[in-house]
Amino acid sequence: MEYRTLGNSGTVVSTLCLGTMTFGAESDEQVAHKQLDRFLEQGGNFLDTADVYADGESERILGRWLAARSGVRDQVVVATKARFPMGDGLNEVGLSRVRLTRALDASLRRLGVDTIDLYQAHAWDPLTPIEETLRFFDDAVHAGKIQYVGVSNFIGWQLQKAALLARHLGLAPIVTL
Amino acid sequence: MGGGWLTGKYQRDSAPTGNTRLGEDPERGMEAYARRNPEERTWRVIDAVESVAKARGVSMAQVALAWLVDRPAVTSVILGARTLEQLDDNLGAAELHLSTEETARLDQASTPIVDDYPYGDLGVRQRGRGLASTT
Repeated sequence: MEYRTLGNSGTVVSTLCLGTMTFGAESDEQVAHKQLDRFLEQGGNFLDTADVYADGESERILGRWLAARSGVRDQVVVATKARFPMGDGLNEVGLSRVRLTRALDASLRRLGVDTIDLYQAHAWDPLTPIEETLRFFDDAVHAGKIQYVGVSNFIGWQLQKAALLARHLGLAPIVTL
Repeated sequence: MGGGWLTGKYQRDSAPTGNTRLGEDPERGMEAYARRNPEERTWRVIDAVESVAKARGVSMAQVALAWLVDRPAVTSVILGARTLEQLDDNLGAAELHLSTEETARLDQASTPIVDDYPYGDLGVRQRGRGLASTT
């Protein structure tokens, strides 16, 4: 396995990251835990999940594995995301401050961790000004609930806008795109 | 893996079946079989990946991952597997680095075709500007 620093940060991650979209769906908990064990055996340290994967079950499965393997939480870099609907409620979707406050707390609970190493917007939200989202992320970093900010599924102009605005406003930088 | 396309598991003009993403749902999103199968580009890319993989004696999935890991600005590549077998195969890409020539071959096969919208031919020409040599 090879390693690099994550984006423009100092955190070291394996060049292969284990995705967990199948956990609780195409892969049951037993298989998922075996995958995690195998991944670590092979030198992997970077894990990616999302609140929406299997409706929270992927995070729960990962959380139970982290709890079951003594000392492993501090050996891995855990990334998750929010943006997609986690219910039918009007504010159970999107990147607003109200939504993300709840989404982040729910992810922390499901994962059973004190902090998320990389918290990502799972997609652009056309209804929420990106400044609001960026300020929420910055607040979450200051509160110690997340370490780094990332975005996912953003297209060119969205990436450029978010990255430069974060810098311009003096907010936590976007570390992964 | 482009929804499994880059692993070589789907065949030309043959609807996918079985325990695979498209086998379970051939119409699934942008990876949908009916959408990609008729495009020449799809098979050009798959053929290029396959030829690099065969020459190297590695799997297509490993070639796809290795290409991506060494793209500019990429730190890490997310992989996902249903089975431990697939995971082991993917992890085999961990220290694989493609040569300049192999990378160029894959780049060429897969470079996206950018539309000339909105300014047409003139617009396309203004996207780049070369400096003429005087020697």
